[in-house]
Amino acid sequence: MLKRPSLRRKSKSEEINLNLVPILDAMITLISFLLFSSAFLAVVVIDTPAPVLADAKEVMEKNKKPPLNLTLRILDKQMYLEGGFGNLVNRKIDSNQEGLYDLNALHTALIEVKMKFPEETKLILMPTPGVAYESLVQIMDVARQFEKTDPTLFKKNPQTNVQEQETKLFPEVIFGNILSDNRNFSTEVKFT
Amino acid sequence: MRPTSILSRRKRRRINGGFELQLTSMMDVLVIILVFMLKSYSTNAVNFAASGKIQFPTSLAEELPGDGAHVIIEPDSISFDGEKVLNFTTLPEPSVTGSGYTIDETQLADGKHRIVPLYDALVRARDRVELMMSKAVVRDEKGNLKKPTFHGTLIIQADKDVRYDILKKIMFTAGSAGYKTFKLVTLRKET
Repeated sequence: MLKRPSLRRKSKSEEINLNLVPILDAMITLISFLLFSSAFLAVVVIDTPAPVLADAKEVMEKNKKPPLNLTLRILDKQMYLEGGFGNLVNRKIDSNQEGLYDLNALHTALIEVKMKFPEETKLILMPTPGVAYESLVQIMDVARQFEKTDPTLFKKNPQTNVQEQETKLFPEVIFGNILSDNRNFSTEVKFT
Repeated sequence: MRPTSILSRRKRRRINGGFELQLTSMMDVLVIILVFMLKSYSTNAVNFAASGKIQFPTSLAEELPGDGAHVIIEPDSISFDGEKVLNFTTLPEPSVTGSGYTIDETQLADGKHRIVPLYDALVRARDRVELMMSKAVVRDEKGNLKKPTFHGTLIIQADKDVRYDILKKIMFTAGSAGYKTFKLVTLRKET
């Protein structure tokens, strides 16, 4: 039934106001919880597998050629890079002018090795006991990836048969002397 | 007839009810913040509890820490999965490079390479995981059912001044206890 004109004039269309305050409370609580639990520091990890003892004959049969065994011996000041037991690669990297490890020289030497042996991905680290963890991380960084200014290396992807740019230098870094004694390094290989 | 003053007319026009805030726009902003934060929260796969006593080195690495047992090398002790397993006999001095982090020789075995309390804790953790795995069955890539194997990943949190000697002992101990992969924790270097 229609309302009388007099009543129609008086009736107001009432607005419904949602009570948003409890929702607001919940949101503030959620946001503060997320803010507290979120990490503002980006924590990353460097993977390094434990060295495994393998029979040299088996490895050679599997790979059909002797492994390069690219090894970096890290002393207190110098580094020695050798491959193929010193027959294929042998480089001595002295400390820089500030008396620290010359990471640029190491990176350049590793790039030269990578250009010669593009299939190689492993680098064995043999630090002396006194080397600081921070220095090891810096050395691993230099050894694991190419920098933007480095010469580009292309490698065929066996799945797609397309030449792709290599972004990793020696991504598999292994500590090779975990099982050995803390002997002082004495080399029979003549380093250049 | 009752006299109507200006004041009484104003009173009549006054709106009944309290003052209400317009919260809709504020809600919009909060919802956007909440969605953004939830999204960034979900990308952090691992709840990572880093020790406040240590300073991590910085690295260009990109891999995020996955699942694994945590070993924390603090200036005064070594902890494994939240429990202190060994106290160092000397504390590092800031002025002396490479000082501190000395382990009591009675706690070492296998030619001073293996840290016995840490080894025991690692073996106990391994046994627990293997016990749980013995009751589980997983499918491999081909869809065949198989028993899961223990991979043994150890996440090592160490101060940037820790010497390789200590790291080596920890890696040797973990290797002896059947842990095959080590993950060295660093902070991402901004390039």
